[in-house]
Amino acid sequence: MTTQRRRVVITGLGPICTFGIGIKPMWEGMVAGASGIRPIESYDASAFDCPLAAQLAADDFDVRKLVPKTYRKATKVMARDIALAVGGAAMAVEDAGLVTRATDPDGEPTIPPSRTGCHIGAGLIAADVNELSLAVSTSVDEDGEFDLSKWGDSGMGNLTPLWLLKYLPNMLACHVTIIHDCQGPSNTITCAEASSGLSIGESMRVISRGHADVCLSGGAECKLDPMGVLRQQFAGRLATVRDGDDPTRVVRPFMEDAGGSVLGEGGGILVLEALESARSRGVAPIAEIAGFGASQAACPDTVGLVYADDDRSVQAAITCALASADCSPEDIDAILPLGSGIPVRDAIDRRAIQDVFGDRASELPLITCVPNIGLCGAGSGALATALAAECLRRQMLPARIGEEGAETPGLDAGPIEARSAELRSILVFTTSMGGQNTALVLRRFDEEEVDG
Amino acid sequence: MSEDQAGNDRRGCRSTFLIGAILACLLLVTGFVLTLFQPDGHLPPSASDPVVVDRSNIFEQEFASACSRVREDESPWAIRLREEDLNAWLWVRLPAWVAHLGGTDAYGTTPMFQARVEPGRVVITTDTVAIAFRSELVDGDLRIMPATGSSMGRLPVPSRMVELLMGSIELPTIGDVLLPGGDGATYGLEDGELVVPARHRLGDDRVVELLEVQIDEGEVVLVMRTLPPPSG
Amino acid sequence: MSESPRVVLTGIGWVTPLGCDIDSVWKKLVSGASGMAPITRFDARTFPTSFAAEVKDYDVAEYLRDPSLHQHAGLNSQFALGAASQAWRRAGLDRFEQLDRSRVGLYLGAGEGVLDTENYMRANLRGWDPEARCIDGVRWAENALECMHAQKEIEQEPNMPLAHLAREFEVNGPAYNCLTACAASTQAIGEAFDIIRRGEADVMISGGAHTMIHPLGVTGFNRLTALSTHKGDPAEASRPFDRTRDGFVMGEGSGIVVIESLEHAAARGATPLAEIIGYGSSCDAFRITDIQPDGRGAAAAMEMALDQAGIDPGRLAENGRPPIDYISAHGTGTQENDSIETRAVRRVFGDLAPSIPMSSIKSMMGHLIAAAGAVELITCVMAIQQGELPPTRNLHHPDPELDLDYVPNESRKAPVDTCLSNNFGFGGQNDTLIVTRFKG
Repeated sequence: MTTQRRRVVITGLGPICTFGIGIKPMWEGMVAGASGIRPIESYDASAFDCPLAAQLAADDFDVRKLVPKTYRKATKVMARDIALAVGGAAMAVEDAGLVTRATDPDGEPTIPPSRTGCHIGAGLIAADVNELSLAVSTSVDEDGEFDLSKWGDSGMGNLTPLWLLKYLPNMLACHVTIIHDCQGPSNTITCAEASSGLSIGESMRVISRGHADVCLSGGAECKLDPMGVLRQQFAGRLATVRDGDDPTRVVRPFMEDAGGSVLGEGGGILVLEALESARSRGVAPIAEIAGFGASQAACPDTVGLVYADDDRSVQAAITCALASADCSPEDIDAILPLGSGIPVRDAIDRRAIQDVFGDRASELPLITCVPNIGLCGAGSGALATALAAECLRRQMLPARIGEEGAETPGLDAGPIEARSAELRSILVFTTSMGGQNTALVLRRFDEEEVDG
Repeated sequence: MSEDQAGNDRRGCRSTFLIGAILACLLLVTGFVLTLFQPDGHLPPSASDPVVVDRSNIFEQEFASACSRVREDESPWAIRLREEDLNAWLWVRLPAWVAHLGGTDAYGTTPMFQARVEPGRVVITTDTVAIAFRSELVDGDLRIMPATGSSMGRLPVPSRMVELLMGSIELPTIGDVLLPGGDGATYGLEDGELVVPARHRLGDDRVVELLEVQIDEGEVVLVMRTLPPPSG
Repeated sequence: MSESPRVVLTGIGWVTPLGCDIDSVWKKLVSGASGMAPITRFDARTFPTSFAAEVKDYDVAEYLRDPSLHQHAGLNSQFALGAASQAWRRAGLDRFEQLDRSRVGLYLGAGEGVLDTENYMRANLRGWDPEARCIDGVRWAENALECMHAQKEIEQEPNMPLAHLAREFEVNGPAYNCLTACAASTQAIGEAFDIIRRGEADVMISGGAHTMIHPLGVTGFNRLTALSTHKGDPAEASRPFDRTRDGFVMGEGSGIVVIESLEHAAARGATPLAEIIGYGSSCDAFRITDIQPDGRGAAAAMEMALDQAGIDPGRLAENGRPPIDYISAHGTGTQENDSIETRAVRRVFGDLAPSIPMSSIKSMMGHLIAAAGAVELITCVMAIQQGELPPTRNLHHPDPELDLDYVPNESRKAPVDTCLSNNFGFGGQNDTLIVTRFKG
C-alpha cells in the first residue's frame, strides 16, 4: 500500500541535559548563556586530558521519580544512558499531553499502543566500572592479573543475573516501550552523534508508511564513565584542559583557537506525530519536521575521525533534507550544526554550510549548544532538534557563549546574547565519528498555511 | 441319406467351424480393438495444471512431514492418501524424482501412471494397460501382488499373466523417493510379488514402520509408528 | 498515489561457523552439519558454557582491494567486509562502472566490537581500591592509558562496520546501524527495503555482523541463563523445538545482502535472486527479560509483513498451497522462545500452521546474535533457489506443546516460492521479512 507521504510534526519535547529535565530548564539555560561544564564529580578524572563534563546535578534528575511506582524496581538495571532516555520519554509524553500506560494505567491511551512506535539512538554503553571491578577483584592470579579460569568457575557469579541487560544499547527503547506501552515498530540506532537524527528520520519513515501514528523518538548517552572518557580521548576529540582554564570557555566551536570538545550527559525524546493525528486530538504542533536527509562519508582514516577534504557527503545530506522539505537554502533562517569545537569536525560543518549556502553562509545565524551542554553522543541530535523546535515555537535564538570578541571567520557563530528572530525554518545537521551524517529541516508550524 | 447326412454333417461342421472361426476372429478383433482403448477410467490429470502441481507438492510435503515428525512415543499414527493426491504425485513429482535420482533417460518417456483406488485394491493404469494390485503385510515386508481387475486396454487379463509381466516391470523405489536419506531398504520381486520392507530408516536413524494398509474407495490409509533409533 | 518500487535481492554473502561461501555452507546446512566446538578464542574451560560455533579459517584479506585500509578492523567489521564483498560481487556491482555511489546506502544491524578483555581487566584491577570498594579514578586512567590501545577501543563502536564498508565500497548514501539484539539484521534489511521503496536510495548494502564470543559476552549470557550448558558433544547442544532444549549456542559471523529497486537492477542487467515483499516490526512492550507469553508481539510483526505482502495467512493460496512455503524460525533453543514462537505462528496461520515447514538453522550454526537474521534470510533465498529446506538438527524429543512441522533432522526437497523469516530480540523487538521467488 502506498499513500501520499504523511506530514510529521513534533508535539512533545523531552530533552534532558546539564540544565535539568524538560525543555524549560534547557531553554532558560540556553537563553541565559549558561554552561553546565564543570569537573567530573563521580570519580577523580584528573588523569585524563579533559576532566570536565556537563553533568546533571543529582538533585535535578532522579529517574525513580519519573517512572510509575510499579516500575521503580526496574530502575536498578538501568545504566545512566537508559535512565536518561526513560526520563526524556516521561517529559516528552507529558509535554505532548499523551495518556499512556505510565501516565494513567487505567485510562484509555491517547494513541493505541500498536500505533505507537519508538526509535531511540544509543551509544556503546560501558559497564559500570565499580560494579565490574568489584566482581572481578576476586578472580586474580598470584601476579595480580585477571584469572579467566577463576572468573569462569566462580567470579562471574558475583554479577547480577541481569547484568548484561544494563548495557545492551536497545535497553533504552526496551524500557521506554514497556513503560509507555509502545507496541509499534521500535528500533535502536547506534551511529554515534548521528544516532538521534537517524532515529528521527526512521520515525518519520515509519509514520509515513503508515505503521505508526506516533513515535517516541530521539536518543541519549552518557560517556562520562572512565571508559567513555578514555575512548573519546583516544579518538582525539577532547580538549586538553589546564589548571586555571575556565570550564565554560573550553569548548569554542568555529573559533580559530578551538581545541576540542567536552563530553556531556544527556539526550532527548521527542513525540513525533502524524499531522492528522495531532489535529484530530486538537493539539498545536510545536514544529513540523519538513525534511530529512542522511549520508555516509567515506573517510580516509576509515573510522571517520576525519573526513576527506573533498568529501561532500554532509552537503548531500543537507541538500536531500532541503529537497524533501521542498525548500531551497534561501528558506533557512538559522542553522544548528554539530558545533563540537573539535577543529576537524568544525571544518566539516563549516565546509558544508559554505558549500550549501554560499554567500549567505556568513549571515545565517548558527545555534551552538556544545559549549553549554557538552557533546552528548547519541543524544546530541535529539537535544539539538528539541532546541531548534523551541526556537521556532518562541521565535527566538538563544545566546552563544565564548570569549568576548572571539572570531568565527566566515560564519555567524561568535558570542552573542539571546534575541528575538523571525524564524520559519531551521536546519539541524549532525556528523558523527564513523562518518554518518543527518540533516533535518524543522519548520514553524503554520495552521493557516495548511488550511489554505 | 447317409451322404446327405454326411454332407449335412460336413456342412454343419464347416458352418460351426466358420461360425467358430468368425466368432474367434470377432473376439480377437474385439480383443485387439479393446486393447487399443485406454483402460477404463484412465483419465490422467494434466501435469501442467498448476492446481495439480500444487496438490502434488502439498501431498509430498505432508507425507514427508508426517513421516519425519518427532513423536512422543511409539503409538501408531495414520496418514490418508487420497486418490487425487496420489495421482497428482504420480504425474508431477514422480518424474521429477526419477530425474533427480538420475533416471532421466530410462524414464524420458515414462508412461504416466494413474492410480484408481477401489476397495481392497489399487489399479495402476497407463494409457495401454491397467494392473490391479492388492497388498499384504507378511513378516515385516509389504508384499504387493496382482489382483483381479487387470487389463490390456480394456481387455481383461488374468492375474497370473500379470505376475509374469511383473518380472519385466521395474517400479521406482517410491519409499526411497519420498524419504530420501533412508537406506537399507531392499526392494525386490519374489514369485511375481513386489516386496517392500515395511520399515524405513530416517536420516537421523529413527525408523518408521508400516503397520497396516487399508484400501477403501478413493483412499489408502497407512497406519504407521515411529521407533527411536536403535540403541548404540 | 504513486506505486512504490519493487525491491529485489541481487547479492548475498556470508561468513559463518560453517564456512565462508554461499554454496559450501548451503551444502552443510542441508546435510545437517554442526559448527559447534569448544571455544578457542579464550580459555573457557571453567565457564558454565565452554563451547560455541566459531568462524574458522577466515582471512579477511582475501576479500579486500587494499587490506591496509582495514588493518585495525575489529572481528565484527572483518566478518562484515568478507560477507559484503561476496554480496557485492554476486550482485555484479564490482563490474558496474556507472554506479551512482551517492545512491548506494548502508543499513546494518551490526553488533559492538570485541572488548580488549585482558587490558580492560588489567586497568580495572590496578585501579581498584579494595578499601573504598570503588576504583581510584587516577590510577585507573593511568593504567588504562598505558595498556589499552586507541585503535582497538575506537573499533568497538557499533557503527564501525558501517565505516569499513563505506570505505571499501566507496558508497555515500544514507547509512544506519541498528542494534536490537537478535533481531538487528532482520530489522536492518526491513528498513533498508523501506528506504528503497521510498526512493531514498537505489541500492542498499544491508545485513549484520557480530561476535560475542569473548569472556564478558559469554559471561553476560551465562548469567542470564540463556546459553545451553549441555554436557557432552557440543554438536548436540543447540536443540531448537526439542523438549530437552536448554538454551542457545553462541555463533558469530556476518550475513550481508545487496538489495535494490527492480528498476535499477533491470537497467544494469542484474539477475534478481529473490524479491522482498513484506516487512513487519513490532515491540512486545512487556518485560525486559521475557517475551509476551501469548506470542502477540511476534504475531503482530508477522501479520504486518503478510499484510504488506498481500498474503492472507488464514487461507490457502489460490494454487491450494499454504500461504507460505517455509518459515525460517528464530528458533533459538530456549524453552521460552520456541514455545512462544510456535504459539505466535499458530496465532497467525491458525489451522494451516502445521502444514508450513519451519526450521531453525541455529541448531547447526548457533546464534549469530545481531547477524542471525541476515544469515537466515539468505538461507530463505537459497531454499527458494535450490528447492530444499534445511532441517532442525537435534530434534529428537517432541514437546507436547510444539506441534508444528520443524523439518526434524534431515533436509527436505520441496518447492519453495515464498518464505517468511522471523527474528526476535532481547528487549522485545520482533521482526519479520517475507521473500519470494522473483517473477518478472
